[in-house]
Order: sequence, then C-alpha cells, then structure tokens
Amino acid sequence: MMTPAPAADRRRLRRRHWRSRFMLALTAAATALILAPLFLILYYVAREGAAALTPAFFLQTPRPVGMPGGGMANAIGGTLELLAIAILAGVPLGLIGGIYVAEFRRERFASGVRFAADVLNGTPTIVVGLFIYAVVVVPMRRFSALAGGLALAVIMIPVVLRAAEEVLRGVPKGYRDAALALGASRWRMVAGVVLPSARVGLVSGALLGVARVAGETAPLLFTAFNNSFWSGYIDQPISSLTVQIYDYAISPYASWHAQAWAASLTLIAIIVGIGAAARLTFARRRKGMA
Amino acid sequence: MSDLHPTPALARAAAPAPPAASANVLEARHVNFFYGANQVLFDISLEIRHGEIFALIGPSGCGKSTFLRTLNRMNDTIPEARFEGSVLLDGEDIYAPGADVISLRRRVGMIFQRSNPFPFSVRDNVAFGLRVNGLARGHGEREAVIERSLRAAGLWDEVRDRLDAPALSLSGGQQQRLCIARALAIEPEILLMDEPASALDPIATGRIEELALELKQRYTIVIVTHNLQQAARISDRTAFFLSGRLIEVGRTQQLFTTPARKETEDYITGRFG
Ligand SMILES: Nc1ncnc2c1ncn2[C@@H]1O[C@H](COP(=O)(O)OP(=O)(O)O)[C@@H](O)[C@H]1O
Ligand SMILES: [Mg+2]
Repeated sequence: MMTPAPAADRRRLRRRHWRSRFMLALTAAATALILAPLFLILYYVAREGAAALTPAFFLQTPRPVGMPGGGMANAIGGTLELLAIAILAGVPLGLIGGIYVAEFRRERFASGVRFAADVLNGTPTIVVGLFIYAVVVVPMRRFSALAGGLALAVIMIPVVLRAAEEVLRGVPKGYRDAALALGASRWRMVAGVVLPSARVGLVSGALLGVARVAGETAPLLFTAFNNSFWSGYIDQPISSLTVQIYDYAISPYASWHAQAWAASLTLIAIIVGIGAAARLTFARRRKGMA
Repeated sequence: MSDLHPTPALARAAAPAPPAASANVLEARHVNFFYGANQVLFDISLEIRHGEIFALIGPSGCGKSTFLRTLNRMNDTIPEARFEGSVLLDGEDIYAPGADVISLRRRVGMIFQRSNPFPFSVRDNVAFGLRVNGLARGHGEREAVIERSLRAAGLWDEVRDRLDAPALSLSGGQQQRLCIARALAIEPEILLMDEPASALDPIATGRIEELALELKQRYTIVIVTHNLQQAARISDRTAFFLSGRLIEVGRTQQLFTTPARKETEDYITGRFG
C-alpha cells in the first residue's frame, strides 16, 4: 500500500467536504420542493376558509339554497359517526386478519388472505362504494349511515390488516420462544405475550386505517348519500364533510364555496389530529421499549 | 420412533420408583437432526443424570444449541426442521406420538442465550408461567411463589421494591436472572441453559455461575457454554461436540485433564474453535 502525500490527502479531504455539503444542500432543496405543495395547500385552504369559520359553521345545519348563514354541524357529526361505524366494523376484522396472517403465515390460506388484502388495498374506492350499494343499499332500499360506514370499513380493513401484520412480525422472536418454553400453547403465546407487547403498535395501525378513510368521498356518494339535517340514525342517509365539500364546491354560490373551504380545513384538522395521536402512541412505545 | 424403544406405557411400568440419585433423567438415543437437507446432528446418544450439571462444549456452529433444543422440543417451531431418534425423560419418549409438548416444557425449563424478559413488569414476568399453567391461582399464593422464585434466582433483594417496574429497566445480568426466576416459578425438574452468560460482564457471569451451583441442589442442569473455564468450574460431566458429532463425554475433571480423544485435546488446549 502506498501512503499518499499529506498535501494530496488534505486536498482529497477538502473535496469530500465540499461534495458532502453540496449533497446536503441538494437534499434540503428536494425536501423543500416536496413540502412546498403541502404548505401551499394548507395556506390556500386556510385563507379561503377562514372567513367562513364562524361559530355558526360548527353549530348550525345548512340553510336552504339562497339563504345566507348556516353551518356544517351535521356534516361534522356525520363524519364522526361514519368513522365510528367504520372503526367498529373494520378495526376488529383488520386486526384479526393481521393476527392470522402474521401468526400463521406459513399456511397456504394466509398467503391467500394477504393477497386478497393487497388487491382490496388497490381497488378504487368508488368500486367499493358500488359494491356496498349493491349488497347493502339496494336490499335496505335506502341510503344509510350504515352503508357509508361499511364502505369505509371495507377500505380500512386491508390497511389495518397489513399494519397489524408488520407490527406483530416485529415482536422479537425471543418473547415467543420464552413463552413457549414456559409451557404456553401457541394461542396463549399470542394472546398473552405477542399481542400485549405489540399493543401500542396495533393502536397506531388502527389509527392509520382511520386516517386513510377519513378523507374518502367517492365511496360515500351512493352509500351514505347526504342529508341537510341532523340524523343520528344508522339506517338513514347521513351528511359527511367530504360529500358536503363536494356538493358545495360544485354549487354556484360564493358563500357555499367559502363553507366548502372551511369544511376542508376542518377535515384536515381531524385527519392531522388522528395522525398526531398515532405518532404520539408510537413515540410512547419507543420510550417504553428503551 | 423405533420399535426397539419401549413404549411410554411399558417404560412407566419398568421404572416406577422415584429416580435414584444417579438415575438418568434424560437420555438421548441416536439423535439426528436436519435443517432442511442440512444435517447438523449425527447419531448423538448420551445420558444426563439426576442432579448433575452437564456441560456441552464445542466450537461455534457444532450443534450445541440445536441439541439442547431437542431436549424440550423447542426445535418443533422451526419449519423444515426434522428430528430422528428419541429422547427419554424418566424413561418416556418425549417424541412419542401423542406426547404432550406443553407438560414436557413445564418439566424442562429453558434459559436462552440472549435474555428475553417480556416487556412487562418484573412481577408479571415471573407470574406468566403460573398463569399459563394454572398454578398458584390465589393472590397470596402467587405472591409467595414470585418471591420464592426471585430469591432462588438471587434477584429478590435487588427488585423487592420495584416489582412493578418494567423488566426491561433492569441491567443485563438482572434480566437474565429474572429469566431464571421466571423459569423456576413453574418448578421444572430440569433447566436447559444456552450460554446464559455469554452476553454478560464477568461479575454478572460469576453470579450466574454461583446461581447454577446453588440450583444444582434442586434441579438437573444442562448448560451450553463456549467458555471452557466455565464448564470446568461448574459442571460435573461434560460432552464435547464437533461438527454435529459427539466426540467425547465424561467426568469434567477427567475430560479436561486426560481427554481420551485427540480432537478433545486439541480443542481444550486451544488449537481450534
Ligand atoms: N434455524 C436454523 N435454520 C437453519 N440452520 C440452522 C438453524 N439454527 C442453526 N442452524 C445451523 O445448524 C448448525 C448448528 O447450529 P447451532 O446448534 O446453533 O450451533 P452452536 O450452538 O453449537 O453454535 C449451524 O451450522 C447453524 O448454521
Ligand atoms: Mg449456540
């Protein structure tokens, strides 16, 4: 081996230093480029929607066409109700499916389930809406919160399933070995050790699924439909922020446009809130593991 | 299973008395083991006697862990793995069709190379085996067993005030002793230890060794170690493995001072491994 002269050495070091700085600047620029649309959207939505964000917006229901004022209280409540139905139906199924494919991954049926989940994940959501229309709305002979919530649940299931699978597969093998070596059956191992130690990750996975469907519009158009009034009944059509944004945005009225922006802002806040909750639980998990 | 071996029922009839001091508690007979097409154990036969510390030594990759795991059927969880031969526990073949793996693992506890306490509290770690096996159901009884197990593992004085603290907040050596307490709680007859001190500093290692010598009063211990001094210090008998074969087995002192086989001598004098 040749030892390079100190001068050459120093020159090389300087060149590396500059290259590293250059790459750093490049990545920073790329990051800014990616984040720019996000901030532009947030800025634009906030600017357009701010005027309509009055207390009435959160407390009142829509007024008939042409009358000023009114709000989206029923749409906010409707979105939350739809999400609640979707969570009740979708999270347990997604979790059970995720547990199955993670813990019995060597069985042929498990790879079938995993494949089906991936197909479902890639299915256009309007197709899911159409499916629910055929199997729920038509037999019930009406649009309903139930149908809308189920459509969201179907979209949520593969997301939750795959997230749960990832989390469970990340549980250290040592925990499983220890449980089995203590005389636990496979089932006791999963229920007593694997699930409790993955608890926080599973909650995060469920929240990921919720965040995924909270902004859906297409699958609600002909399932939950829309409703200008308060309705808590699951067998009645129900309003939602997304469908309400859609209806108002294509209307010819400036005041409705402003309300659509305000609704957008509210929806973003709800989704960011769910995302932040997921992040917080993840952070807590990391600390707990340390 | 071979026809040469007694059926479990016959074996039970043949060995009715509680094991005498020198009785074999574990007996491996013609054990072969394969990971897929790769054979890693070749025709291993050896006996482990009641109340002894039995050491398995040999270079890394020679099959010590694999052999240890055949003794409580932990290899069952590995897909594509295949076992041939038999292992008798008190005369009964633990691989016989219909043999109960769960009660086997209750009787034959295991301590792993990397300590693996559950991410629960200290108390819940020790209580896990009790819950799973439906032992010590009453609160007072359970607390008593937890204390007894932690004392037996030499950990009680260090954790008595923090039973509800997360197990993962303990030091490495404490975590390994917690794993020992967890295994002791369900009162196994035999403890399998796979390099239990390999990740620990010398002081923590010394404590594990002392502990093994104390536990010998009540348990039969099979310990894998790559540390020859450790085997020499604590074990009664030692088996030397090389490339999946049992080269030599005998009294530890004899094996280390006057080995019968050239390979053993080469290994203990540090010529390879
Ligand atoms: N789960 C496994 N799958 C495939 N091969 C394995 C597995 N575990 C161990 N082996 C192989 O079996 C041989 C013996 O390994 P092991 O029993 O762990 O040896 P030791 O404990 O003596 O170091 C090694 O060649 C190792 O690569
Ligand atoms: Mg090993």
